[in-house]
Amino acid sequence: MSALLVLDDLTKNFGGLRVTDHVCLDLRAGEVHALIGPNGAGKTTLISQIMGEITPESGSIRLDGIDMGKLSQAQRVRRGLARTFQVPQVLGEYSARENVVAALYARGASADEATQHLARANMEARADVRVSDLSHGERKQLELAIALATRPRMLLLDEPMAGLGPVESAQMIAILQGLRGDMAMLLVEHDMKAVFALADRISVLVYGAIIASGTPDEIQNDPRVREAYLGTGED
Amino acid sequence: MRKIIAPALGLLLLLAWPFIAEKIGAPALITLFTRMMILGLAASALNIALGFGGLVSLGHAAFYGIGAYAIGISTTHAISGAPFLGLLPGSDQLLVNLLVAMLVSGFASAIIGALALRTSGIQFIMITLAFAQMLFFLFLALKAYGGDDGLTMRRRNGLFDLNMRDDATFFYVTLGFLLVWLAVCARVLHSRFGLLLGGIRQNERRMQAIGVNTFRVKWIAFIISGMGAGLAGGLMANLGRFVSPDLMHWTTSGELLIMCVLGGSGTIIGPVLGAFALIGLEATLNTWTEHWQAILGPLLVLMVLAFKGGLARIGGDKP
Repeated sequence: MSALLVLDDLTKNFGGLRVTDHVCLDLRAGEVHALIGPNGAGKTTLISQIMGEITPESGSIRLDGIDMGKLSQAQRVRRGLARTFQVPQVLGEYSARENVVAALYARGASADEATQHLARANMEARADVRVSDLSHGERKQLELAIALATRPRMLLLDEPMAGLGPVESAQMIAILQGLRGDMAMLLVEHDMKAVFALADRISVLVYGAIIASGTPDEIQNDPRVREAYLGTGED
Repeated sequence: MRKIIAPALGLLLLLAWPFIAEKIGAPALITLFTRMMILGLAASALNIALGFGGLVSLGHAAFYGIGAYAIGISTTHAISGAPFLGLLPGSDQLLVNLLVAMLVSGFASAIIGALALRTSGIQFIMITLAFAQMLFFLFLALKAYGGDDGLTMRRRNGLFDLNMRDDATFFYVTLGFLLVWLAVCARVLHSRFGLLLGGIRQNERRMQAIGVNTFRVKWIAFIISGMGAGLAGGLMANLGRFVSPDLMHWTTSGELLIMCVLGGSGTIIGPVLGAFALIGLEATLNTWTEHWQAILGPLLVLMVLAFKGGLARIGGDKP
């Protein structure tokens, strides 16, 4: 598979704190690439840089060979980048359908498409419910439907399992499995069950730097990853 | 059903109002109601930015005043025969002048909006206020058009063969413009643009994440809003045949904000109800005591607390 999204030597500091440390990452078309790491490792910040919400100090972000560095967030979305948020960012006064329609209007599409995107996120039965009346899990699913309505080639998922119970998590994993192959996904996640169920490859981010990349088996057996997560035991 | 009956009854009352006012021997009430409708239109214009877009502007009096001055200046040049800046002829026709008023106000709101919309929250409030006050002082110093004495128009602008000197005729002309404006507002609210604007008010970060150029949407809303305020200013200039920098004072912006909040920001009819309530209370209390403002203030607070969401939402109605 060819690389769809390439991060090259990406670096970002917040004051004296380096949150992204010379990150190099290539995400292939159609694959699910998980990005794991302890809290505060800089995973969400990396997503925000890819989307253009935060500007990196150096390095480049290329989607299909095109430099995203000078593009606005709206232009990046039009080129095929989409994201979800750890805390769902939805439009509380609108219905679930209107939330999806807003994304369709943003790319000049017809509202008729909304049902198909809601169905892919298993939300068609709740389409006309006001978002303020949806549960946390439903909002997570709605966020996914909103992102799908932008027709992404690269979907950046920021902790889609956060705050979900076991049943909802299983449902979310099944939904994401259903999307596999239609687009590439960068999955930032703490839930290792979900990571190992979904990921083709895994990268580990610690203190803003990638310390390991490989298949799930390779990562599971990597001593650097064990050390980062469990410590050396020498203290 | 109530959603149709209440506005229909209100419209019937307005249509009959000049006859009622004449019948009860109070023709001054025709002018008072015309003023209410014009300020209702101005508040409704502000509501596009405030209620639909979440942009708390304390500078809309500038666009209202610019619209009024555009008409005052155009009419003055039409009567004197001397072109404006030696180039542009004036006009004493209402439709031409209102179009000019809206274009000039739209241009001003485009420039002010392009700068102010780079900020948000309290900074946005302050920067719109600062621009409005800047224009207030500019017109205060503009001696060629009356300065702080204001500018008197010899007559109202003409419209077809209507007798515009007649207050009842001008009342119906104003009502017509108000209805057209409210139809425009309803169209905006229920359009693709309205859905995106409402989305930005609720969660701008979400809208950016789906690829909306939120700055551009807010800017367009601000321009439409400014044009509406200019239209209202133009009508007000015709009503009193007088324009002065007072129209641009920040207290006018404050009054428009109060009308929106009182009537229900984010609703179509709310700002108009707010204008009728505020001007009606002012006019009534004014006849009772010279200290009417001391009563009006607490009364407004009580009304806002009692009618949460505004007068338009009494009974839990949504827009």
